[in-house]
Amino acid sequence: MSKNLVETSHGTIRLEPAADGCIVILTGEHDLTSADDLARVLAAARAISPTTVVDLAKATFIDCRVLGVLVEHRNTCVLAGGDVTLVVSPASLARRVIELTHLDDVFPVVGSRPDVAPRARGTDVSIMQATTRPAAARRKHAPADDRVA
Amino acid sequence: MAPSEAFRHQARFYAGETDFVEGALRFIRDGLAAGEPVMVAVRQPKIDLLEAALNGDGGRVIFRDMAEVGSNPGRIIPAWQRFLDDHGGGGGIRGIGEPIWPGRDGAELVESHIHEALINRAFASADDFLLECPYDESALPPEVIATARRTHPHHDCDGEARPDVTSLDTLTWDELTPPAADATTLAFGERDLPRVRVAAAVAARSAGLREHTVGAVLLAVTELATNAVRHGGGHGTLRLWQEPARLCCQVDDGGRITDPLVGRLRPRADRPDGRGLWLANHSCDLMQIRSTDAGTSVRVHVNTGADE
Repeated sequence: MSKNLVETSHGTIRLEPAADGCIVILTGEHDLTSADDLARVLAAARAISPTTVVDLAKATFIDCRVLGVLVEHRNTCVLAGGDVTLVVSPASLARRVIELTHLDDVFPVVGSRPDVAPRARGTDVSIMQATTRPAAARRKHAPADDRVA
Repeated sequence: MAPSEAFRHQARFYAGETDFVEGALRFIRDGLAAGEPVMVAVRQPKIDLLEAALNGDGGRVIFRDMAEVGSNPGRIIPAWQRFLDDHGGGGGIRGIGEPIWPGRDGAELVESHIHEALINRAFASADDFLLECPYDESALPPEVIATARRTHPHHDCDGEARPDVTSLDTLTWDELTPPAADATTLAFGERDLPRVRVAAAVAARSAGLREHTVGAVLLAVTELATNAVRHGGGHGTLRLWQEPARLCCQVDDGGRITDPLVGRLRPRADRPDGRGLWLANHSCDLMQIRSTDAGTSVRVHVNTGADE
């Protein structure tokens, strides 16, 4: 099993480093029972870059705890000059939950994963190791468009 | 300006259609003449009457069909909040809201009265907001009129506000009717949330709900159960049963809810918390919250009729 895959009670969370940030992919059901795992993976993603894509297209269930973790992640990323994009399928429960809470006002929401160049092989990072990467490496992929400025 | 005048919530008691239109027209025209934004949330037949009577001025009024906005009375405060957010801040602002009509009964009527009581609290710090609630004295039962007199600080154009209104305790308002004796019952803790959803899905499908609505039930029930786990002592009890034309889902726990407006105020986008009961309220047709020192019960009703 990949070091970048976390199996939760009713789903999975995968971290995929990409050239311009990280992609975090959720499958299955996510709620309070997997919220800590999600927070840990997102922290690992932030350690690589403050720009992340969270792919919820294959998440069959998300609730307010998942939204809470995503909001905290976004708050931290935006402070670091990054951004968080959500991928959700049209007419899915995830989209409904995001719209009902008006989070589509603050998160860019797209219907499919944007084209991203995969990171060169050999740069696979473990979720646990990634949290200890130095700050300089973290800022490497910060986008030119710096909202904090 | 005194705080009590920043928001004026007044009931107007009328008798029949003509009286309704006369009073509403006067109220709307006063607002338009003062350049105030006006929103009118009443049922569609009354919207048609007012639009015709306004004779072209209706375009300056925001009309919302109360049968839609207020089918779940717990979602009327968010609708007014949205109106204030979009149009307030530039002086006076006014609205007409008629959440109670003949035929509205049972839990829906109880929750509509609770909504009227909570609106005093929700907009206590609003800026120069005048909200008039028409009640048809000729068609509504006397006890409904009596309750409306309790939930509104002002009646018609009387001057003095009734000071006791904002302290009405909505969390102990009429006890919930008992759950059905044959309700499906499941005791749960944190690790059981997926099992809670399985039980809710079985109940929702056997009630004949479509998949879209089943998803809404799963969301609402998960939010209630999560609340019990996080704030109600770590565990709770789920009950699921059918009543005529509705599925009821109730979670009981040992916690205490202190904010009577919970689930009705739009969550802030940058806060990690505060979305659970908002999501539950927006995923059902009626939500009832009762809370005392002995514990909390939250019941959501999902209509099964429309899905048949």
